[in-house]
Amino acid sequence: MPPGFWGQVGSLLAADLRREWRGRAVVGLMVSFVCVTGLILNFTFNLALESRVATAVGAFWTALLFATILGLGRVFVLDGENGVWEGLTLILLDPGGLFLAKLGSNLLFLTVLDSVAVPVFAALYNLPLLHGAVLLPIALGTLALGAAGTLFVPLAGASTAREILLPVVLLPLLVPVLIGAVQATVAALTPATAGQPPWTGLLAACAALFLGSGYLLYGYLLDD
Amino acid sequence: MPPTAPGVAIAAHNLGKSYGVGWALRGVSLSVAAGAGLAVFGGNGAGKTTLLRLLATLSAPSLGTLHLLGHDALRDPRRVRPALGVVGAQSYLYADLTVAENLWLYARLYRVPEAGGRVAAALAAVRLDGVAARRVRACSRGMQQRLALARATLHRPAVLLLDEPDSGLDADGQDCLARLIAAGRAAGQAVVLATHDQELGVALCGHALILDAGRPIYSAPALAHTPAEWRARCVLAQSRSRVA
Repeated sequence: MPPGFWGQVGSLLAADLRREWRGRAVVGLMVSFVCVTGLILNFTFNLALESRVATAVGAFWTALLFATILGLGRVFVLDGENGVWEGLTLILLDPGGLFLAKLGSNLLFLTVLDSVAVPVFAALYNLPLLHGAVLLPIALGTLALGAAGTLFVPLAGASTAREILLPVVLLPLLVPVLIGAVQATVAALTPATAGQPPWTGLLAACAALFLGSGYLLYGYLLDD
Repeated sequence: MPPTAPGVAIAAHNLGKSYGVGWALRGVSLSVAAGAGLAVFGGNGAGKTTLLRLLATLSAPSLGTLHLLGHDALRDPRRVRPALGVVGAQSYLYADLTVAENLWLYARLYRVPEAGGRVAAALAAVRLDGVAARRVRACSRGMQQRLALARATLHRPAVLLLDEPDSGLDADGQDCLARLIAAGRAAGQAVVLATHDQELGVALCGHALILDAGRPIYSAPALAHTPAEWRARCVLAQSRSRVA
């Protein structure tokens, strides 16, 4: 019996995961980058200051942001190998389904990245990042980064100046995500702050915006 | 009501493609019926790949109209794409998946019924059943080309678009290609075959078209000329272009 929509999405997701398991081309790159960045920033910043938590959280999210751009750019390069990406534009699957499959694999890669980055930054910066209250902004920030990356990487990837265009396109769009993620994480780590804007709500809104846009607009990005 | 005549699988009128610095293709009109084959000849840079990419809806034309299977392929390309089988310059294969895993994946993505039997048959048709567990990355260029043929025909598309599918194939692989095209045409597939091999084109297609410098310069039933004569016409066209 031919698979339905979710069966197709699952097949594509499984193919991406199998490729990563065998090639280890994306997660290893992101994890290495985030660890090295965390270490370098740890030497750079003066963590004895009062703003230690905000500085450390900013370093954490900045490292995650750049690791995401690096990793998802690599995913697109892999999809370009043998023209796989072009082949996927011809299949009998709604572009929204293609977006969900790519989002699924990208989010799994980012979850692995988070699972390494959180304890590394917790140890290097003496931050209680493993606290339950912090996991919500991290989860929402990861979802927003993954959705935005999945949506915009093919757009930038179609250009010959992909390596330059991707951060130029993506970084300005991710500024609200970065601000929301940093502030929501700081708020979760310092609960004494009252009257704060709803940073977690901003993150959730960004994630929903990128998810909805990706599902609805992915087909337009695939066409010439 | 479809705007093309019944039985016509591909109907292109005045197709052209510009990349901003001159025309890569201009003024191509063609019609291929279901079960018919069109060979496209021409030297390097003649516009064969551009034409095939336009027909595959992988690239949007700068001018002209294109109807595939009675549908306006420019207005709604996604509607016709699953009915196309495309072998292009790239294989569309996951390098880190095995031969069989790639076909299984595409079988699912095209919602192929009885996928197990169809994958096995497709592997046998290109004589790759002995290397089903080998990763594509470890396959030779010719084996990857055979697998690309299997992938393109797995879902039994109504239109088969082949851009130099004989590239990298040995004699046995060319035999597989010939059998697949003949079987496809017998089953009603419309085939467009771009190739430098005039013998192959004349043997497998009923009609032939010569492109040069992006323009159609000659078209006739394939058997109206011998392969050597078709080759001579291609060479002559290239010589004229160089002089011009």
